[in-house]
Amino acid sequence: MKTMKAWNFFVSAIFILLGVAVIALSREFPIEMGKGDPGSGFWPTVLGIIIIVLGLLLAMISCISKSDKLLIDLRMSSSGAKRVYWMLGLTVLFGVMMYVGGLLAALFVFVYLSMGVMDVKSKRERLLFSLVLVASVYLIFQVILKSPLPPPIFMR
Amino acid sequence: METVLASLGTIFQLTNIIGLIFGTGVGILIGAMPGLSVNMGIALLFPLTFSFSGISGILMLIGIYIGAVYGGSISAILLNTPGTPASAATTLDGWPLAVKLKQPGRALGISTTASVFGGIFSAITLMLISPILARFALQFSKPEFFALAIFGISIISSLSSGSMIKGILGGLLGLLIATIGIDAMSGQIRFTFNTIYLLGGVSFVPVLIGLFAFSQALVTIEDTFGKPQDTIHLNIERVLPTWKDFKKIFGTLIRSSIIGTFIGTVPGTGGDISSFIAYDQAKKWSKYKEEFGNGAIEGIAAPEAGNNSVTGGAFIPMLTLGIPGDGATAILLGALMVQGITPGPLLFKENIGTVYQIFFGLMIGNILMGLFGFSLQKVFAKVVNIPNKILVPLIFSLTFVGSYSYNNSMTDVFIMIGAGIAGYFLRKFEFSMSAIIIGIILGKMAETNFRGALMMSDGSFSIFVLSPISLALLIASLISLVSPIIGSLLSKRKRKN
Repeated sequence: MKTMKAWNFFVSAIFILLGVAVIALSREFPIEMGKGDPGSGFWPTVLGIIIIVLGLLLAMISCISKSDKLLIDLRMSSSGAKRVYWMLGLTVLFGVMMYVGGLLAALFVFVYLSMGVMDVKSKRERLLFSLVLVASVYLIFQVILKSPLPPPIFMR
Repeated sequence: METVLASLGTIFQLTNIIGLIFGTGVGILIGAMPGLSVNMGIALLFPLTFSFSGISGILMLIGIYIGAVYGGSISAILLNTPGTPASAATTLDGWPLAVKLKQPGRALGISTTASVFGGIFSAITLMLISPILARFALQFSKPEFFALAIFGISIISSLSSGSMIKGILGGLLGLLIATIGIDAMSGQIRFTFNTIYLLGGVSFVPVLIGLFAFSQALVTIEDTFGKPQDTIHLNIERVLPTWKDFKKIFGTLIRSSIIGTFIGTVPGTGGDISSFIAYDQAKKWSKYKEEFGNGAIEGIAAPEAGNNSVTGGAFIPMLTLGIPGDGATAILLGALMVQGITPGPLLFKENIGTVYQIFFGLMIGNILMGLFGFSLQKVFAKVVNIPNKILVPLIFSLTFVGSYSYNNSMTDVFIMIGAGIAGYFLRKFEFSMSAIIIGIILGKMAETNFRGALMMSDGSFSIFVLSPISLALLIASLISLVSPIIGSLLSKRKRKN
């Protein structure tokens, strides 16, 4: 998928599926029309229906519209986008490391590696900034604000 | 009178004034850096408010809000790149005066004066108008509150710059998120998938940080990667404006402040619209029209007074009716609610002290902003040059630490990351993050009042049109939803002709 138009079909399909799922899940809850409170299932069902209608409308408009806006290049493989995926990978790594090694250690590794993703070549600069940042976080949150940070798994 | 004086005294308590000074200073820095938005700044530093007791956290957020709106003018003037969309009009005359005519100090001084003037003007208007509006809103009952919530939600159509349908879909997504957890009316548990974490609903703060800060940082990486970053090296001399300059812009300041305050009160508008309208009006009324576009000081004063006066104006519907005027006030509204303060007419009845503290916070925050602007301009000019390769890892770190410190929960960090990744793709597909947040905030209000009103009428939907206020609000919502479509159809026809 290269253009906004193509992605719009994907987005509308996702929203239609979401609407259907919400309606299906709402069937567990009562809907009593004409008896005062329509029940806890009414509101989400209405939202689900509107989402499906708007999803269909989005697909229809994308189909018939000749607007230039729909031809915007939306390729997900530009060099900038690739850096974003690298960063997302690092975030996953951060999540795992935070769980195992605590926040400060995970943050140090994340900042060091993410500066590499941002094209900072100098290892010394990356190391120095990571250290300063982690020390600042510890000082501000743990020492000054007395807000505890997640410890490593063996200290929990 | 006693409450007023007590509230003023509260503002000057050490922690409160520190919160305000810190917020205003950080806000200016955030606004000055292109790529960081007002919304991002508030979302990023929101968790810090839990470390402050009482009103000081809220004052800090107010400081960030007004500071960031002003800070956008610094990069607009020095780099020709607006720090925030609200400062786009300032580039038209700010940059030519600073760079082409080599008077950066004069340009920054005019923008600071105008911002302070506009901010204080709108804060005074807020103090005068909001109690009257709140008294009127006290007559509201469930149907009116439902209609009000719908009106608040309807503004999302004007918040979505790309597709209106996507704007509404974003809002609906927010409304859906708001249904997760225990239903306030029946006590039933909805959409929690048997997890204890979701019983109290989706945690607002991590979602907010993910949508506004984490996703924005990802977008910044994509947009700026491999591109050279603009930097400035100008000698900034005298910043205080001369009496002659002040006299020349005084009329523009008054006019633009009125425009900005009025536009701020209209939900769905914002600083970007008001600054361009104020600029346009300044040009129409000016005796020196030929100077516009070439460094006219009125051309700097108008957009800056226009966008900063929006801040006080936007507080009017937020404080009195509990509906946000734009993305930033939506976050502030959420912040107040998380802190246990529910904006709306009852706030004026039950917690008038807090209302006055917010009024004075805005007023004093604007004065502090002026003091910062006139004394630390050289520092702010340096901040504009901070490279993204440093800024981006810093933002990510703050999102991780901030979302954890809110509730000391690792799950919140994972929720934030999930919301951030979803937000990144939604941004790419031109969805509005503000629309989602407004949906989350107003979702409960809309549903409980909708069902409550139906209980009052034994299930008859006529209750929503029999009340004149409710009917008027529903019609206004319809107009708000439909007007962008009509507007675009009219402009298409105009272009064809």
